[in-house]
Amino acid sequence: MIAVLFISCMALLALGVPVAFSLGGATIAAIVYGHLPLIALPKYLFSGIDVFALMAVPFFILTAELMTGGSLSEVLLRFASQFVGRFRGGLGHTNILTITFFSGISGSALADAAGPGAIMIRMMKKDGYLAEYAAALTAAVSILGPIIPPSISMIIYAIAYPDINLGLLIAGIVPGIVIAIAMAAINHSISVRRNYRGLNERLSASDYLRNTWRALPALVLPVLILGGIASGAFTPTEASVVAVFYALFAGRVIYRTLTWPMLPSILARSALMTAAVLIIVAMSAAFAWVLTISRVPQELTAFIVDLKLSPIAFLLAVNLLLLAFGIFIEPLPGIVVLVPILAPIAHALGINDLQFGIVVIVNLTMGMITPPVGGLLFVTSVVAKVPLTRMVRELWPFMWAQIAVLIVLSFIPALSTWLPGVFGYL
Amino acid sequence: MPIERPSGGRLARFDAVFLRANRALLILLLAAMALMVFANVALRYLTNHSILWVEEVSRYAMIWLTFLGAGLVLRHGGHIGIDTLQERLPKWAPTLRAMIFALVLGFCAFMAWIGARYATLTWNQTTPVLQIPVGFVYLALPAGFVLLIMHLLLMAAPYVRRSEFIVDAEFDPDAAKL
Repeated sequence: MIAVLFISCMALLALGVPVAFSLGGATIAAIVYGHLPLIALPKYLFSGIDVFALMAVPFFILTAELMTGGSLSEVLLRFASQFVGRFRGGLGHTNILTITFFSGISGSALADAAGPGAIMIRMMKKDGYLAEYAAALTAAVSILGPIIPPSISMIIYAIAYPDINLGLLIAGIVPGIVIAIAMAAINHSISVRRNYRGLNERLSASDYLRNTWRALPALVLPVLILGGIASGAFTPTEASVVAVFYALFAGRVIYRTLTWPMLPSILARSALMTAAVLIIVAMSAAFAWVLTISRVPQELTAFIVDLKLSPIAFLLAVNLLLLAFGIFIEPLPGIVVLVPILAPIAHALGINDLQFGIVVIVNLTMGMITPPVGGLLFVTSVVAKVPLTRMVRELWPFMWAQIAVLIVLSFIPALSTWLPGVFGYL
Repeated sequence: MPIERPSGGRLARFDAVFLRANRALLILLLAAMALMVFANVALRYLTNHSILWVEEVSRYAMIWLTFLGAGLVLRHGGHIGIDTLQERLPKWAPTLRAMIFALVLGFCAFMAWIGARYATLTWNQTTPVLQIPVGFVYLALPAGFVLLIMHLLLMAAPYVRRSEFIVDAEFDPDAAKL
């Protein structure tokens, strides 16, 4: 039955059937083959998304869309540019820093790439950067969206593995900064080689003050979300809806760039993105149910425990497995299907839940910049107007750097656990 | 990419209304969810009370949003899939897309049928807070997949022939303003 499940899923995916339908089709095939009750399929589809905590997904999506609609990207861009714009490869560094800030507002990588990422790609092209380089850099940095909180992936991770504590949301901050620094290092070395210059702008102290003052309302949002959750004032779902109305307030009253006629469009776009995400979550839940009743988790657990792997050997093995999976599978089905199986094993081996969560999320999100199913590549190549194949060449240095960060995150738990510890999680 | 609407006056007009109605429904559902949940947070802080049914109703709104939105996502080409095979075998691409189309159509028909059965079977159960039949919630599945089938049929020709989806500023990363 498991063979039917995986082979039919792979066949459907390879043929080009969209991910959600491939997962659902494979589930039906396995149910029919294994003589299981068909009625279980709708049952687990619903139980997969009939979860109040999932409400944070549409709300975080809506928050990011409201902020983008309120031309927040430009405000953050100017704020970031004043710190790093004058260095070699200045626009590249500005791109990295802007997306890093924006990741504190958005919870998905695609929002980062389509919002500030799209603007930065056009600016970099105009400034003489190779279009495929601008697209590759943006795709690579956009993986910070779900790593730096708020994060849709983390919300879904916490539902897939309920034993984890909310510290997971905070745990992504330090690893996110490490990734941003690694990307900046690559940008620096390539800018030196290709002679990408810094921006030639003279800023006075009052310019700094004005840029910072303008960016402040936007920078407050991550503090509001995380502070609210960490202090116990809000649940993540409550924090996400407060963020929606704060974004509306900031866009309408503070920046005054958001107008009421823009709202239906913003809502429609957010609703479509929500449906695209949640239909995959629902189908993955049914898919995962077939795995569970075939006792795959139990047998895999027994097998791995028998191997008597050291925690680090297990982590590295999981990384290899997920990298292979990530090439073909989007992060969300990966989380819904694999985390309920792998996270308890990691826990039993003595690996910190938060560290394991971060390693899994960083790893699966990296899959979004590996073809053939790289959602981020698609968005950035369309914006930059370069064919995917030429872009991939420019991606390699960034991918190697991210794999290096992944190994560092696997070996040094403190990178993921130190900050949550400060806030009293652990 | 040019937009091709189904030709033939009446069908095209129906399609335009259909698309607009589906979009309006999604906007209403998402707006209602945000307003309800936010009102409840505000109430909890201001009065220490919260409305019991909000959690239930907003959850059900999210379920309806998911299934009613899936068809419109499909229409815009928003479901992620692997196109490598079509790109490698351009001659076979229309045949491949016809196969994908048939498979997805069959899947949707099956889901609509099993979803309708599930909704009927569970009709006598009621929800914990509001005590309405859970069938009203589970109806989202057959309703959503019937919408998916309608969207599939309306997009069939341009998709299979040229892999065309609806392209508009609302759901296009390239349209993000500078």
